[in-house]
Amino acid sequence: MNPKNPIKVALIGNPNTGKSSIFNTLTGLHQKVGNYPGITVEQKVGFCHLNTNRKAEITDLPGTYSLNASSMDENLVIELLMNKKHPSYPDVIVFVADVEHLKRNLLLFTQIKDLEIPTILVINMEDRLSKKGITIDIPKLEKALKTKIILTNCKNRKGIDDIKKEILNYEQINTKQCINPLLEIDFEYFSSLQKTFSNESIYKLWILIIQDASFVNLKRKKVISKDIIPIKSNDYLKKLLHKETIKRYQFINECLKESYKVDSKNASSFQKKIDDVLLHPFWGYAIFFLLLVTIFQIVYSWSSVPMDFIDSSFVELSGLVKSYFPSGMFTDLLSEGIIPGIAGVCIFIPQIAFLFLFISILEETGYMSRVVFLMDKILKPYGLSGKSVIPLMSGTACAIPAIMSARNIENWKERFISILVIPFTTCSARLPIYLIIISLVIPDKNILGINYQGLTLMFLYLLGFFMSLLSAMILNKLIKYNFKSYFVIEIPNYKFPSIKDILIYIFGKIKSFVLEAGKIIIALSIILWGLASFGPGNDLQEAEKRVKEHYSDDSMTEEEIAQQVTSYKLEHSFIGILGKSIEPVIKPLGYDWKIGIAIITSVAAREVFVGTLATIYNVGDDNQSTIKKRMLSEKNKQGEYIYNFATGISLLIFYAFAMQCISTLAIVKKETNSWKWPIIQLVSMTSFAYLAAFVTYQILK
Amino acid sequence: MPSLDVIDRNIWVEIEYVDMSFVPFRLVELGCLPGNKACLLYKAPLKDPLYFIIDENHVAIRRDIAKKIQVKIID
Repeated sequence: MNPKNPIKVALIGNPNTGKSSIFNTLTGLHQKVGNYPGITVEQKVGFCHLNTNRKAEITDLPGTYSLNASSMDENLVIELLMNKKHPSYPDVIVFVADVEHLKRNLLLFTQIKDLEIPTILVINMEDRLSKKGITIDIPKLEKALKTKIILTNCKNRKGIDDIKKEILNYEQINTKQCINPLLEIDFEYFSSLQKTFSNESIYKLWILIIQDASFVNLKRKKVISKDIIPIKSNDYLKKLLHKETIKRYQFINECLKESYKVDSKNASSFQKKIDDVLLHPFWGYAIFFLLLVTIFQIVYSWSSVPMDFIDSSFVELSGLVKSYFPSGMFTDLLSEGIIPGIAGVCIFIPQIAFLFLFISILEETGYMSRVVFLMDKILKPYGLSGKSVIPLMSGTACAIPAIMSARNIENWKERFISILVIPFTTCSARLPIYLIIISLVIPDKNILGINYQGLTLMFLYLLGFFMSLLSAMILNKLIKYNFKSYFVIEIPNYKFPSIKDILIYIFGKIKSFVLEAGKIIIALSIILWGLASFGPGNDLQEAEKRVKEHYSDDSMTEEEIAQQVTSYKLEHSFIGILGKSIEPVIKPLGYDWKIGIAIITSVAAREVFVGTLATIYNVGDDNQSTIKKRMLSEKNKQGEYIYNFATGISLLIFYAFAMQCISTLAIVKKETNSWKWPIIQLVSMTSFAYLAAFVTYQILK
Repeated sequence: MPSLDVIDRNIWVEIEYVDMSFVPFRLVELGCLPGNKACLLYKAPLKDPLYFIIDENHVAIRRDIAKKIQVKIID
């Protein structure tokens, strides 16, 4: 191997073993988080200096319990380890085990050893040894498992340099299996398999038979259809798998009997005391509900301060560019297209940071698994995980961080459904539209002490939540998933979260959002700016002249003329023309071309709707009461009021269901790694919104 | 022989038989094997799922799976 090439390292281990802490400690901020091609599984790669002239490329693989894949994430681990041509195929594996669950962790370790790749066994959370009264005879265990063992503790970096040293010397690591159970469970079957494919490892062949993983030029069908190998029934293969697991556990028990001792007197009942409260039939839900309310309140209110700051800073920057740069198309592109586009990306950062701060605390402490336990029965009928409750609820603040947070859901199908249904929940961007329309068409009166307007707003929130559950139920039936879905979750021990891990996690989330979804948001913002700033012919260039000609008799102020010019330009831009041309389509919904323009511009973000109407109606500021007055007086050609009850409700229904947010589309593209799903979302949600608004208007008019 | 879904909380049992046609193999890998010990710690407030210690591992499974695991009481 060329010593200049980095040594490829795969970090493997069960979930909840502190694998990510080891990864963070080894790589620091030198991490890249992305998706594996074609699937929604997170790919984490980082670099680490082993010494002054040698680097390691470390891939943090998804946590897995065994090499018998039962999820897409686990399948990915197997595909990587089975395929020597895979770009991340490791030179050496660092296997991370948790000191308290060594027995179960070693099941996967013995399987990994069968692949005959150099493997280092890292026993993590060394600080728990004394707390739990555990003693390990390392030399004895190293001999039995034919490996090098390192005890680590990320809090004080204990063992981290030893891991680096062992990675550097990986060629000296014993690659022999520590147990070979296959010939013991069915000698005839496995020896004939070995004879037929003498160049292949018998264990790799076995993995290939029990699951359909891609495997270096050797396809599953070829192995099981060879005449010489008797084809076994699935039941028989399952029995063999069972026997193999028993053999492995017998070996592990034997190893640990000699080298791993637990003094039960030291085992604390701390976890049980907390669980008694957090899983209590009443207090369990009460505490969870209180936590949710607190989290979303904080995400909502704490974020508003930095969000306002980001917003005003970018507005100021646009103003500075406009006043200091020579006027022209480039300045307009910069001040009205690019800067607002970047602002549109940065504005999400505070909410993403706060939401992921809380999510990582919930995950790291071990509470999230309890949430799954509490919520499973409620969300199971909808094909959602107990964990889906966090993305669904945080969707009421903003769909962007909510969709990103769906990544914490282990099951691919549940994760996917959550991502697709989140945009139905009522995000805060819908609020300005809801508030203004409600105030226009719903009377400010009370029934039994409850305000009609408040009731309508509550109904819209419930409608969003109901729609996301309903669509989840439908998607659950429609989406095919190769892996059988089952509910077996590990409830990890409670532990204090590591601040460093949390900060790296939040930083990674913000970085991936800005770099991946950000570029799409900026590109689409520029396109929308172009459509609103240009139009056919000379209409836009001559806007000022025409407005002045038209109002030559009036004594209008400079400001009023400027408003008229802006309104004229918007009306004659491509977006304006588009808004007018869709009038026949939106007329059955009760909308005119002005609303049409506002609907098109609000594809950028829903809240743009109100601002666009303010521009079209020549209202100088975004003040709600001024816009409201102007909207109330707006009439159509027949002299009827535009914003009547039917049109208002139709608009509310349209915005409740339509996919009017390019940032959401960008984040769905990033998370699903394909344009297919955001396009399906856009078309289906908007069509449904159109249909629902149509029916509403036709019934109410 | 009682099944795992009907045992009382905090009572230790020994797993006697696991219906492999129904029980996910993952549970076997987490130690749900004949001869190993199990104990029901909590029932979710809506009676499902159930949270057990199975062979030193803390796991939650649904009631329908627990029904397919037969046990004998040793406590």
